[in-house]
Amino acid sequence: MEAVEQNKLQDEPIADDFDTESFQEEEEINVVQLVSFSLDDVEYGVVILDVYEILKTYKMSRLPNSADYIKGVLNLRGEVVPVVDIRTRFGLEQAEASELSRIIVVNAEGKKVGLFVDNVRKVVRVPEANVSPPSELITGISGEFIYGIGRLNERLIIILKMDSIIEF
Amino acid sequence: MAFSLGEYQDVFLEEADELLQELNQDLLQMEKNPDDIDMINNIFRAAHTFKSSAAAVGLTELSKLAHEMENLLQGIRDGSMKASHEIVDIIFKCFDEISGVIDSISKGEEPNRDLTSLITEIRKISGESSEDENTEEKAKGNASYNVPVTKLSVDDLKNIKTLSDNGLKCFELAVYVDPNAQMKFLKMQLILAHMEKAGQVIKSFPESDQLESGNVFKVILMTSYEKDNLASLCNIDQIVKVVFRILSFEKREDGKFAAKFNADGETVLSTESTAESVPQKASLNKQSKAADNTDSKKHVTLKSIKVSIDKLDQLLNNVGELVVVNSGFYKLYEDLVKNLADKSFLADFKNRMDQMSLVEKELQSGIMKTRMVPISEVFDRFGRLVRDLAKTDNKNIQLVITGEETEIDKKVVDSIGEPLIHLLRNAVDHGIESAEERQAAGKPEVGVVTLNAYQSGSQIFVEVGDDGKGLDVDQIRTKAVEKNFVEPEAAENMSNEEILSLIFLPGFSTANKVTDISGRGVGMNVVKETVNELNGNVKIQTEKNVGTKFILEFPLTLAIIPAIMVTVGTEQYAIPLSEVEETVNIQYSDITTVEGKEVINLRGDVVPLLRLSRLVGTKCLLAKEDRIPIVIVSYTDKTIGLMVDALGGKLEIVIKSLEQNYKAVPGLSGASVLGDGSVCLILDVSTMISMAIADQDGYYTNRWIFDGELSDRVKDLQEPEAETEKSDAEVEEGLSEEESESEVKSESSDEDDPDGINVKTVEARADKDWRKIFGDEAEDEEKAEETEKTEEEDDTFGLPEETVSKEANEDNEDTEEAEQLSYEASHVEPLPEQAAEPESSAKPVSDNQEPEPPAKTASANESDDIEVIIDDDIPSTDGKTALGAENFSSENEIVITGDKPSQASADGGSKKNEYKLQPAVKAKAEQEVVDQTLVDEVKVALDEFRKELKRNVKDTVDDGFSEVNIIGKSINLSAESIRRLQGLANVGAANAAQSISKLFSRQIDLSIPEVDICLVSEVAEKTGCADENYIGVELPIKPETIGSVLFLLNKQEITELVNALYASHPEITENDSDIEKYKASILKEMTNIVGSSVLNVISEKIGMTIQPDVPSAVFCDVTQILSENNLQKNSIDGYAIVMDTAFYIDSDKLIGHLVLLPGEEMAKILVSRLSA
Repeated sequence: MEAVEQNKLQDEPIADDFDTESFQEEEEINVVQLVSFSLDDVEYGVVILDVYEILKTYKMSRLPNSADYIKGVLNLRGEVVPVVDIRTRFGLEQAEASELSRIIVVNAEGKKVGLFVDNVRKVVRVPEANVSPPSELITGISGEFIYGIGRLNERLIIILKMDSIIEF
Repeated sequence: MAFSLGEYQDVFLEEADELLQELNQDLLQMEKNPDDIDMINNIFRAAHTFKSSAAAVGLTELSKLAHEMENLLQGIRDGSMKASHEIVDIIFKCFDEISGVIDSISKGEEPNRDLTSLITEIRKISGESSEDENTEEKAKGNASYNVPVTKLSVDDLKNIKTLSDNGLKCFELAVYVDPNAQMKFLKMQLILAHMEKAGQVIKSFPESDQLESGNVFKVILMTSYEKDNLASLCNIDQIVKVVFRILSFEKREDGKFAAKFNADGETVLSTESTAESVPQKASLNKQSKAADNTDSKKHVTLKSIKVSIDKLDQLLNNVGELVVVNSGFYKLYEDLVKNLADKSFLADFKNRMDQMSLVEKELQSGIMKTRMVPISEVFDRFGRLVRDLAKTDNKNIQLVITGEETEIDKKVVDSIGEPLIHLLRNAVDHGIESAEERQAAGKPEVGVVTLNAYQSGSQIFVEVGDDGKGLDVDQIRTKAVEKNFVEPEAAENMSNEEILSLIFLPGFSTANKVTDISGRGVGMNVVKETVNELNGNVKIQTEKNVGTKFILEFPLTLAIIPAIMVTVGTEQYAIPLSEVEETVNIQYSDITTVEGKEVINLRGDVVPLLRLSRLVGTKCLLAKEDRIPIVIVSYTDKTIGLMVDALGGKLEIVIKSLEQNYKAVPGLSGASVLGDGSVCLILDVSTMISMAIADQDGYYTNRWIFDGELSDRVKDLQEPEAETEKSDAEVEEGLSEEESESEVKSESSDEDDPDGINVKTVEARADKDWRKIFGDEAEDEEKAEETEKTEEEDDTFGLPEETVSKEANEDNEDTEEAEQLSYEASHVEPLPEQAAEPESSAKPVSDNQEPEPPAKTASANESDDIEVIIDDDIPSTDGKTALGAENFSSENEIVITGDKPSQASADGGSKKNEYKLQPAVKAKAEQEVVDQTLVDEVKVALDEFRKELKRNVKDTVDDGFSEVNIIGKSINLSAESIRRLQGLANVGAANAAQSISKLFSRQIDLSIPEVDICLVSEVAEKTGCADENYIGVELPIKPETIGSVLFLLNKQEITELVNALYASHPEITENDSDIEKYKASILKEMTNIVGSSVLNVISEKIGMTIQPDVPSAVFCDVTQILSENNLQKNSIDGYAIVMDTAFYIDSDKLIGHLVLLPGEEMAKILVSRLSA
């Protein structure tokens, strides 16, 4: 079921019009809204309040002499914004940029930072009660990037913390 | 909550700041010129304004102070007091108090200064000299018009008579100022000034310097103007009316003249006038005329407005955007031209576009101009500064400021204050001599400090000069050597210019004592850094006994700059035009290699080349036969050619900060957005190159350009083309080799060390990132050295054969070792190649070296070292070789890789760079300047390490450890093998040190100064670990049969170690049991790290898999461990390899023993491999 849904999602670029997938109790007051993306079948979420915008087209310039995970800098309406390659940052295998690749522009410690991700799936609403602190369940990415784990309909979403996503 | 003065706070602060500035300025003038009534008036006015504005925002204390100040000034003004130094000083003190209060307010603190003492002080001073201050106070605030009495003296009348005989008319103007008006005196003065223009003012009532009181003042004026003209001149805001009277002379019977005023009408100037009837003197005739109402057109008095710099920046940003967007249109236009059939419409389109560009350009330059402020904004502050400094120093100094009207970017103005203060301080404190010295030198007693600004081209120059003693180049040289900033021999060879540039180094000061003003060696560094930040430059001109001049040079504006676009690989970069000298196209064959560096001959000058592709880490796409575009850039006084793939055009670019959303990136000064919306990075050529050069060899650029003799030789070098080609080819090869090699190394180290024990290797690579850019050059250089070394070694055949062979062995072994050490690998790798091909590129270079010290001397040096050792008569060849090698490396400045790990571990592995650079004897000068502090540290550490080694050797001798060798021989392990083992162990130790340092976030160094072999049964005794003061940890090895490792430490020392490390882990409570637990865990961890690091290296070397297990429990009794250790039965004849380990934690040292108990198999392999 899950797999089918994912396939469907990957067939069509969805960055512009998100479905809003939510927990049954729509009226739940304390809900965390996440912009979710997936890498290697693991779903990650960025708290929507941290997100400025999502870019579909991008023109990046490589930034020499900077950290390897800095994919480059882009021009966001006159502002120069660094872009973090999330895969490199998390120590995952490199993947080809594709039609689905997106840049999520987030607020990291007051600065605008782009996150280069494989795809952006949708906006997810997770009740705060379903968010637990990071546990040893997660493998692969370092705990410093993780704010917590959100559970939604038997799915786990790793909620990212923007504080250390980039080193200033 | 922060203290606030309410909504007017900002206005008040700004105004107060300005007033203070003005007050300071004027007071200085007054001090020089106590009779200058204008100045006193100015000060008085400013103080008065300040008084009222302070009162308005509720700062009554401040207002009171200002009032007292006013009183004091009043005394000076009416002549009852003299502007003595005492008074000036106290007024300055008042200013300081006031600015203190203002400072704290602007910081949001409540000003709670006690001003009463100061007030009393002022009162005391003013009370002494003047009594009547309050009369005026009474007159103030009286709203009615007190028309002053017109009293003309006989002299005045005579004067009037003469002038009226000449056809001038005499008017008396009574000017009525609105009683509610602010600053009435100002209006009056204004009118007075106008009147002075119109004719000759005979007198005014009250006198011009007492205009403060009253609402009415009278002017007696001789003029050719008519009343109407005068009336319009008086048309100033808030002047209610002007009453004119004409003075006429009537001849009386006695032949004398009687002066008579005839009323000549009244001009009402203000509509809301509340003119009162003016009491007239009976003796004057009233003769009203219809008042001429001039059109009350408003004068525009507002000449400037204040705009916050943020708003301007925002505006500038917008304009920048506009520039970008507009350039997009041109691109679009080109597309249109290509694709559009109907061309008629295009012309129109183009026309409009051009128009828009024009407007845009004007807008841009307009905005840029708004950012420009006169430099007087900073200059004005310094009058006070220099005065105060001169006073403290008891010097008589005059500050001459010129060019203060020069306009400069606000950002520059804001930042150059501090550097200028430092320069002025230096000028006053060090530059200008004492009065006696000056007299002796035949100079005028008053020293002159000049501050000058001017614009030239697109640069602004700011000069700070003095006519003092000038900089003493020799003294700087001596100091530099004394303080280890440069090597003595390097200092000898440095030009005066280079020597002078040393004063910008942090911590450099020639002052023998640190004064309040200067001497700490911080100032000049600040100057340099600030100026660099502003993309500027500092030059020094100095002549002994004539003076010194510092010339700061800044670009005119910082926001939009012209730049040259260049392409490397697929990337585009911008180089600020201000840094570009010219661009040239060259052939590949024009490039010559000198000492491994690429240079070109540019009209007789040798210009070093740098490949931009390497600077930014990309690939050059040029084919070999292509012409190579070179951008000649200059920074400070060095010139360098940047090799690029293609040149783009010149472009006006808007500098965007990378820091806004990221951080400063070394080598880039910012980014810019191009017309197509892409981001283009702006190269910070100077830092990029100096970084690279500092890393590589700063001497080069200095020397080869400026030393004519050497340049000649360079030219000679250009002859053998073939060789050059060859070396170039090698360069390429070398690079790719190194790159691929590094790649492989990093991977393998990752695989080998999941625990991150080899972090060092990886980090070393990271450190090298920028050096790698110069990989080929550096490597070439090394090749050259290696060749030199080889040659030198040839020369050393006069030495005892043993030593020579040992050295040779060492080299061979190094090459092998290099396989484990990616970092060192790059140094050593070329050696075999070199040996096989001694005629390679290095050859011509070494031929053209500065005359090397004769080979004999070199060998003599070495044999000296050897002699020292022989004198010590050490039976342990092991120790001897180690020592010999150590000395060899230091004396001849050739680093032998085998020793490196041990050195590095003594100095902290991270400082390896210095070692690498040391070989280049000539390169040392610049390099050591740059990394002086580091080198110092390294030196100290090295010395210590050497002493330590000597001591160890001596201990060994004293203890009669000679039988070690007997044991060694019995298992067929020669002293050399043991030394080699020690080398390996030290590599492991260095790795371990890195890991431990990281673990405890402390600088911890670890070395293995001694490796011995003895019987297991003797271990306890030999190491002195037999007693219960020692504890040990076992690091088992899998499989068990291979062997085992023990780590033995003194209990006391462990406690110290734990305490030292404990300090960096404050979260651990001061609970004894916790400490015990912690101690145990630290010990296990340390054993794990040290043991497995050393084992790793050894296992790689002997090609045997040794898998260390988790350390077992901490044993308390060493003998017990040793006896219990089941390894004893596995080890052949129970031999143990004892490695002394020395930890250096900060200043503490801790000696431990790492005991390797090899199993039979391991021992065999070890012996065979080590002996091979």
